[in-house]
Amino acid sequence: MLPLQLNIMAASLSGLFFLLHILTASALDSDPEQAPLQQRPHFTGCVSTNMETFHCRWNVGGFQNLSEPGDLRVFYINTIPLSAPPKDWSECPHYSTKRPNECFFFKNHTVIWTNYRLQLRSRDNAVLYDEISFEVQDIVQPDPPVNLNWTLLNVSLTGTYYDVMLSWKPPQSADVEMGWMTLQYEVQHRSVSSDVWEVTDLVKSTHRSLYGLQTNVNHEVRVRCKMLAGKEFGEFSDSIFVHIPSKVSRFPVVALLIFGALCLVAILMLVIISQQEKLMVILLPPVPGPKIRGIDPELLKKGKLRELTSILGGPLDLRPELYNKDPWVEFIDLDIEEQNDRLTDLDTDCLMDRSLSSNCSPFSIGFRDDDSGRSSCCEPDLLSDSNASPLHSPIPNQMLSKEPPCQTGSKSSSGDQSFTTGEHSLVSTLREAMYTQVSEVRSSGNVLLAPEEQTEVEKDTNKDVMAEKGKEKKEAQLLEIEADSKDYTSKLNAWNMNPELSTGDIGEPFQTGAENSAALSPPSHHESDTVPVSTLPPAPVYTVVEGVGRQNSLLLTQNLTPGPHLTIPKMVPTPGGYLTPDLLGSITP
Amino acid sequence: MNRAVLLLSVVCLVVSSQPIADSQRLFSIAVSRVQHLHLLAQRLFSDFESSLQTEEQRQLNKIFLQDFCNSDYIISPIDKHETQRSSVLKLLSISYGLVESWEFPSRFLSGSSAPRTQISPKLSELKTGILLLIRANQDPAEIFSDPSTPQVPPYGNYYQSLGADESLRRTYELLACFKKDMHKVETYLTVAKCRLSPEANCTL
Repeated sequence: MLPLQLNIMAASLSGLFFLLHILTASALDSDPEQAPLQQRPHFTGCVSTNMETFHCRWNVGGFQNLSEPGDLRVFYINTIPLSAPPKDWSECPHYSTKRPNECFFFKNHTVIWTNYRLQLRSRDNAVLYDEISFEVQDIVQPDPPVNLNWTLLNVSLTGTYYDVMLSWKPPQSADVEMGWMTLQYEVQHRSVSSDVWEVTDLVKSTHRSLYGLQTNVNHEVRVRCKMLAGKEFGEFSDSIFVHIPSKVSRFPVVALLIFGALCLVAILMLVIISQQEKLMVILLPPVPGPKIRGIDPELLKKGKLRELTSILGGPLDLRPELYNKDPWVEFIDLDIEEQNDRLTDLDTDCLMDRSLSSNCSPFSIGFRDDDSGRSSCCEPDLLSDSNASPLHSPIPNQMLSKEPPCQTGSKSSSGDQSFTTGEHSLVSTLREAMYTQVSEVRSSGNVLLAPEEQTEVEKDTNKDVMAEKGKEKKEAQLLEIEADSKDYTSKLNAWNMNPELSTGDIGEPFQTGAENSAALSPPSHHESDTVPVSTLPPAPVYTVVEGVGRQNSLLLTQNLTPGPHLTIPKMVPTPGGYLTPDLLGSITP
Repeated sequence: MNRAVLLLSVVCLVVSSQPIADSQRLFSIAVSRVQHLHLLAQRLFSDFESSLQTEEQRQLNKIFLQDFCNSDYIISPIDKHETQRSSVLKLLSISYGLVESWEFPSRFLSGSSAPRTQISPKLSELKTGILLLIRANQDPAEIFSDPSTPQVPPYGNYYQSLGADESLRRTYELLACFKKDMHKVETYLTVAKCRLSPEANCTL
């Protein structure tokens, strides 16, 4: 069976081959049939460069046997209007010798705005291969412009771009001077690395500028022209190359600037972070907390009212010295409401007695409040208002501040701790309201308070209190206090002498100074006077209870020096009464 | 006396130079206007030609060979030599005739975006300008007849709209003739201008 199958296969294969052969043969056969149609001699085009002459070219196509000169002939007929149309076709006036298959028409054979018909015939005029018709003005393709050159206009600041001005001349063949031809020019340029030509708009002038060319890049420029409203362009001129080297160094300016800016920012950040606290102080100065003499600011926080009231209620000299070191600390003056309330009735008496006694009360009770807006007690409004309890305390102060220093009440010896009766009574009553000493506890349960004599001490203590409480003015006033800490009387006298010192004289520190200096003498003066002194020695403010007596009386110790030792600054003569910082340093113990 | 004569001559020169300056300005204006018209005509023709089929184009081309433009009756120089020989006045008058011959038929020029409405008034303006130039370059002694030719152009053919083929052919003829005549006028005016004022950058 095998040989049979082989035979069949061979037959089929041969059949296939035969079919293929036929197909290819037919394909091959088809070509020669179409070849003559495609390769007939034909005109390739007629061109005029100057609108005075023109030439026509043709191609022999596939008919290689006709490539001989003379095998093909060109005949033309030119119809001139309003003249007799030519009857015969004329042959080409000149077959070009320089180029084969070209017919050249001289000037005398060329007419514009007329119709030309050309025919391509065989040698024997038997076969017409091709025919074209045209008018000369439609086939104008000017020669390329000549003398193309460039000049540099400017270079950009960064040196990366520059502008050039191109200039050229019209082609020689085109008679532009006479106006016979009007030309339009087109410039094309590209960088040598690119394949795409950049085309510019048509211009009528023979110069043109190119903007934005890159430095360090070789540019190729060429130009061509055409008739105004013509169809076809002429040939391109020869290319010229434009090259400008960049002068700027390769130093990256931008990178430097960025780096510099970043460094600045980093430095600024470092400065800010390192000096953060100082900056915060400068920008947002801290608000000083409340400073009350003898009271820890911690107590002023919420929830510690009891301790605060107890401390405030207690005598001044028991308060710790917290702000000793800082002489410039401003302390808040406190108005103790309780004490004011206590003195209400007494105040009215004070006010009432005011008419009797001299106006100047030699001491001030309670705490001075220089900043209060309270008016003087001399005003009728206040006199009528007896219940103006909070106002009472500065009233005597005000009185004292405004009234001239009274000498009547202040006349007292150094040892004399008494005042004029009126004042004394005032003082005594006030004193009794503020502080009092328990002298004896009776069996009935009554507590006997210390009599007048002790008021001196009280006054003394009060004076101490006033002396202690400090604004800066008080500090100044404390100067006059004598170095002898035990001689309270002189101090007291000083206070008495000069009511202005003790009270809230606002803004008159120099006067107080003057007064204080003046006060120096009076105490001495008064000390010389002999006035009966109270018998009782100055009792301390506080007395320690030694024990309870048989009759349930409290036994108080006496002759005790006050617990808290008052720190009285030494007297230092101040120039004009002012206290300078350096002097203050020497003053503080 | 001598000074007076000198002064008078200078004044006369200045006065006489005025029309020359005006003439140059008018020429420049006229040339620019006709160039614009020529460009317009070329655009119209190319648009029309591009809308035709290739086969139609070939046929029309052949047909065109047999017909003539209506302005063929105006004798005009047809080569450079003849143009160079013609006087400025002759060139101007021929231009005037050509423009005038198209004043009316330009309304039938078909074109996209209604350019036909622009051509007629522009032709009229150009005609006026050429007339002014003629007056400016005309010798007062010379009595010149009306530039319009006595021959009546065969406008009739262009008014009758026949079949579709005819209209297509007529449009093609109109556009081709218009383009040719505008080129003629442009060439004549440019030659005349460059001849009268050689310093006026004719080498541009």
